[in-house]
Amino acid sequence: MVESRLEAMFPGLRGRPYEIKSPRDGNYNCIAWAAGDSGNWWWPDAAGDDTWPADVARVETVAAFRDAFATLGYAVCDDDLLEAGYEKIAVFALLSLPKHAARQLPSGRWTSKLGLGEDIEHELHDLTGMVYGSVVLVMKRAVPLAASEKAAVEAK
Amino acid sequence: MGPAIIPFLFRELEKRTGHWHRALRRITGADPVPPADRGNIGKIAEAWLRWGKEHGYQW
Repeated sequence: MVESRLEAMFPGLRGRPYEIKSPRDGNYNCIAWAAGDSGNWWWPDAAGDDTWPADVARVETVAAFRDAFATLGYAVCDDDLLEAGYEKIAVFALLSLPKHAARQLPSGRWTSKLGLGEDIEHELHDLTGMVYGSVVLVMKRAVPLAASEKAAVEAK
Repeated sequence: MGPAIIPFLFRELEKRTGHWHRALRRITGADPVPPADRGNIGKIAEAWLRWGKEHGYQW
């Protein structure tokens, strides 16, 4: 059963409101998914097999991941709270090594691709643990507001 | 692992059961993937399968 496999890897998901949103797919990974790309595998591998922004160091450091997302318009921010008009990503690291990235959805929940496995929708910190470590970096970028959202912001 | 495992790796690569191209690259030392296809797992697999056939591997 998929849920038992996921919950064995990520005990923080047990009893929590998460949903499996896709079947397994080895064609893209968490970093690609956070970056909005479901057609490639993103990682700064030294061999150069994987997709990585051309001008960013191919090293497994939080700084390199920050720089990679910066090429997509993201800037470091203070928190993972939902902000109207912004899309956020969060990078997880274990012992300072980047392991995962998640992207915030307009609902405020987060979407993650789990390695070669499934996409899930979840609460951000429910993936904290011995596989991905914890959130060490949050970044945001402006997204165009839908007309209804714009009206709600202006009404405040 | 050594060259004896190469046919197995091509077989698994063809079935798309994992990222076997990484092991193929290490074992053979070859790099048949065009730079533009880096990160595209489907195109990487195709490039390796083509390379394997061109170099006489059977799986």
